[in-house]
Amino acid sequence: MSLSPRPDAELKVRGQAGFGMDLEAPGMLWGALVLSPVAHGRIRSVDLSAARALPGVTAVGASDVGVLMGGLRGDAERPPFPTEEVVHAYQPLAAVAAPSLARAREAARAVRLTIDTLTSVTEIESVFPDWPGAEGARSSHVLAHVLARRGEVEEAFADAELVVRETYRTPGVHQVALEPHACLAEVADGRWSVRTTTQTPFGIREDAASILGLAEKELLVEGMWVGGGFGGKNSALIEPYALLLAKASGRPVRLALTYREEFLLGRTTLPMVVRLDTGVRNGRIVARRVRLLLDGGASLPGRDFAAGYSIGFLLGPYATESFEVEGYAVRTNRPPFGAHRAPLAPQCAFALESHMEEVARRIGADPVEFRLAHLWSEGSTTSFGQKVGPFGLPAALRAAQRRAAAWRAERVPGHGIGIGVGFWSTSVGAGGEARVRLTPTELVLQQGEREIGSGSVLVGLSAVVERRTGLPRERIRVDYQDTSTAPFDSGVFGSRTVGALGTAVLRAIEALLSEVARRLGTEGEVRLVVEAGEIHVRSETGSKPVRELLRPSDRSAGGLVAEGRHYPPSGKIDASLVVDGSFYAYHDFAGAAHVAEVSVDPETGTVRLERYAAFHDVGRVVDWPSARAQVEGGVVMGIGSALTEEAIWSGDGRLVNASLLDYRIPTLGEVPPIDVEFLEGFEGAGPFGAKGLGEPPIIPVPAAVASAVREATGAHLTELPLSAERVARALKRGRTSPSPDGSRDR
Amino acid sequence: MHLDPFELHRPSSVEETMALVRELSGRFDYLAGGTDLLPNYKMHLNVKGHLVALDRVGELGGHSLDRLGAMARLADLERDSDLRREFPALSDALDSVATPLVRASGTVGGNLLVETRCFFFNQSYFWRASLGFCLKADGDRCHVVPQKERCYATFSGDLAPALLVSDAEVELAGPSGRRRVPLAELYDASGDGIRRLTLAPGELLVAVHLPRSARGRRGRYLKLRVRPSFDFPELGVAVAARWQDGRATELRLAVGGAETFPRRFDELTGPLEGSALDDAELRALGEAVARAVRPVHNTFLLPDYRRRMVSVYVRRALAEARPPGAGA
Repeated sequence: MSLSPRPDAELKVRGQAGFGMDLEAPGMLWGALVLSPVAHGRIRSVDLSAARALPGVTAVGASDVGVLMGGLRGDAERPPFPTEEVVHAYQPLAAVAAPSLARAREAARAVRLTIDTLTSVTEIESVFPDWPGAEGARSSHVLAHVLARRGEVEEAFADAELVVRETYRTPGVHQVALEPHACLAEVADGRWSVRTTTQTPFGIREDAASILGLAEKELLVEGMWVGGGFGGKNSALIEPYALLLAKASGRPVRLALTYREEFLLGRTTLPMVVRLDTGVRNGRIVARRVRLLLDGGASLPGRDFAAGYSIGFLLGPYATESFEVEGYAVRTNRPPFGAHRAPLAPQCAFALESHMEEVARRIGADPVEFRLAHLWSEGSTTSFGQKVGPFGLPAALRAAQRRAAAWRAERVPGHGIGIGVGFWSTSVGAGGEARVRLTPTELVLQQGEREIGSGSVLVGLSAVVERRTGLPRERIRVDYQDTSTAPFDSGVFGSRTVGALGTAVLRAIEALLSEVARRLGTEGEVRLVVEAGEIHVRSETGSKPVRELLRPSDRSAGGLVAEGRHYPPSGKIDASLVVDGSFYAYHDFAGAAHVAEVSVDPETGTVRLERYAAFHDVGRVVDWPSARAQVEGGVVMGIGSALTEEAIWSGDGRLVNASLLDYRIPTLGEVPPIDVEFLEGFEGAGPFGAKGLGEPPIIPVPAAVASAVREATGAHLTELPLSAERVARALKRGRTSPSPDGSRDR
Repeated sequence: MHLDPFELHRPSSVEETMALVRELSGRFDYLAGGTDLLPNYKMHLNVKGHLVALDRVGELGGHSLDRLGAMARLADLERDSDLRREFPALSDALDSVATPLVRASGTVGGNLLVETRCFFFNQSYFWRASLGFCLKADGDRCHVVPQKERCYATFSGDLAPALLVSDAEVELAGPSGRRRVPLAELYDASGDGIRRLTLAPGELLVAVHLPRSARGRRGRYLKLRVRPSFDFPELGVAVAARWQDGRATELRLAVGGAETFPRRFDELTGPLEGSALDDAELRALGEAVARAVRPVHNTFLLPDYRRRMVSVYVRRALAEARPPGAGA
């Protein structure tokens, strides 16, 4: 196990890594956004005159976009500013830039908005108090509808010995990346460029170009060091405004959100309501019905993927003979839905795992054995007819079961131990490319992703190179390049960096090594080694310095260059099961089983994590310290979703807790010791059999914690977060009703 | 978020400070540790053009078992083992204020005079503007209890309840001279979230005086909050008593974090003077205090829950402050 410091550690500790907030340019202006004060309204006017009257101020609104963009209209569905109707809280209505930040903020305040407030929708259950039904499905509030079924569901329910019906509710949670959005845009000589903090420079290029009506090649995006993304930096948010201001002012413009604005404007996951009905016969699940109502915010119709993707995680990795799943994404006047580390999967797992446990208890089965009896294993078939690949989740669940038993043997009163299972498909289908350059002294990896903090780019990709070439990491340099020079890559999301981009890197290395072997005239295996300060190629015939293998044509390229591409084929689902909407195939089958031990104060309802263990199928660990850190970080983030995190919206569409003081993420004081174990050998499609690890660690946490709270108190909670208030209320109710009815709607 | 420009004054004596007070007549705020005032300024909450920094006024610094200077840093008090031993409720309260970083700057005076808090007040200018502002800053109505007269912002200091049960007095200096009053009288029981103090315009908190008679009482401060590592109190209960032959005397109880000002409940503890404070008595006292406080929905936890927690916290604080074997 290598414990060398991360290559970015010193830069970051010394403050030398340039983040979005550090961006400056000569003659730069400071930007600010004018946000809608209402969640829904008819725009009468956006009067910029008072702002423009301030010295040095440039202001742009909806009517300026066409002029600035030379008549190009961009994506008509996604104009930078609305012209008639405000559709969500904090929607940008204008942008200003000024020689100082104070002046920019003053100018933003000087913009006079006249908006007739319309009734806003902020609760999905107020739109469809009952299930939407045939009429509701055609409602303008529906962004997406998905429906699929397998088998004779009604008959199976009718034949069931027991049907358990439950409803679960979960709130929206914010990513809370350390760094808010920040960018600097310049427009000069017809060249548009923006430096920004993003998980996907190429994605920002595509997105911002589309919004502004630019050709992608006209826009250059350079990624900065990123202070965390977690899904919040997956698409263009502030970049189009900065570009418009730069165009209008003829000056570089820096636009950065305050952390409060980050909460207000950021795209993140939103609330959902899940109804789960399960029919059981002879100890087996024979029928399942899933009903999902998902808050899509003011997303655009047809762009929603969340309902179809999430609903699969409500069937989970469990064999189900017959099922019907139906989901609606509902339009509300909240900001559009966005990603958040394994979007909605922790919430789905909370609902499904709690429900599985409830079903098991009702039939007198052991909750873990009941899960194991239905859990997929390699070679079994998913609900949608895909064949399951190598899958370590059953082994992880067995390991968790043993750990839970060991902890139970030492359990003290007031404590509870719970298990949660999380399934995820990693290394999503999005593709990418990489270029490597071998010089006499180093191997340079050129690629288009910036390190976002997890280590997946700087550590993960160099670990792939190290493992394949034998070259020590200090001789491997990961060179970030902007969108004009880097090979294309889809981005750092979907737990794909090591698995998917890493495969492109591996292929580039393979191409490099075979060229080297060709030049050496060998057909055997070659490795790269350092001898006398220089990189040598070693084969069965001996070793030779790279210097001697380089040709004049290599010198102009700065070394021996090779490229690799990886565009993974997408899996197939059984389309005959789909009635409406889009469902998604899985790639690698990854997952984890977690064990939580909690203590619960029976009067205050306060839940405290005492210890925690995480068992993960990662296929193959590529870099042990980074892998372990990913799991620890995911667990911490999951503890937030489980216990304290919740975006609180008022009835008129206002985010009430838009600050780091009021939106409560865990601090180290709330984090227990976390034991991490990897189950290797269930190989995925990534390099050396690696599967992705960015998202899975957060998934089982709320489920595991809820299960532990149930064991400690007997309270079966069906709503997140498991706040002290909610637990105390459940306990109080439990005392008055000796056998709590788990299926009760809350 | 950024601070608007302000003029900083740094007087070096109370007299100099009072001269400034006359000159600036109301257009200033005192600056102590700055851990609460400056974040509020960043949100443009009742910003003044002048700040009178108190860090150079020597008389306000330092602390002993008798006297806590208004500018004494919480972290310094926290390290004083004599103080912690003699005033255990204060010791608990010191540990529970925010984080070590905040306590390194935060002061005794700042904590006692900390601005009241509310969901509708502690928000950015934009957020408040979008709602038409509120009584406490820039507006004319309350959004917590819709009306235009009374502000319900919550007192959120931790030290006050602990010092109230220590019978502390405060020394004040104003343009018209000095005075010394019981700490409870610093807070305006007939005021609200805005008119929360009885200080005269420009009057300055110089020090807190701890009477010798309060030393050595058994005490406890329990704080309700979402994250034990950080948050402002949603409720703070301080208790103190002296024990002799299994009987409690000098019984004191104070509650903060629940209403617009911290207060003592002498009318409820008085009848228990000399009792054994058995479990039934503690339960009854807790319920009586819970009936007497009126939290509103302007902090993170719901008022219902906070109120139920009053009885739990009162009972627990007293039970934990009983000597071993007492309460039977």
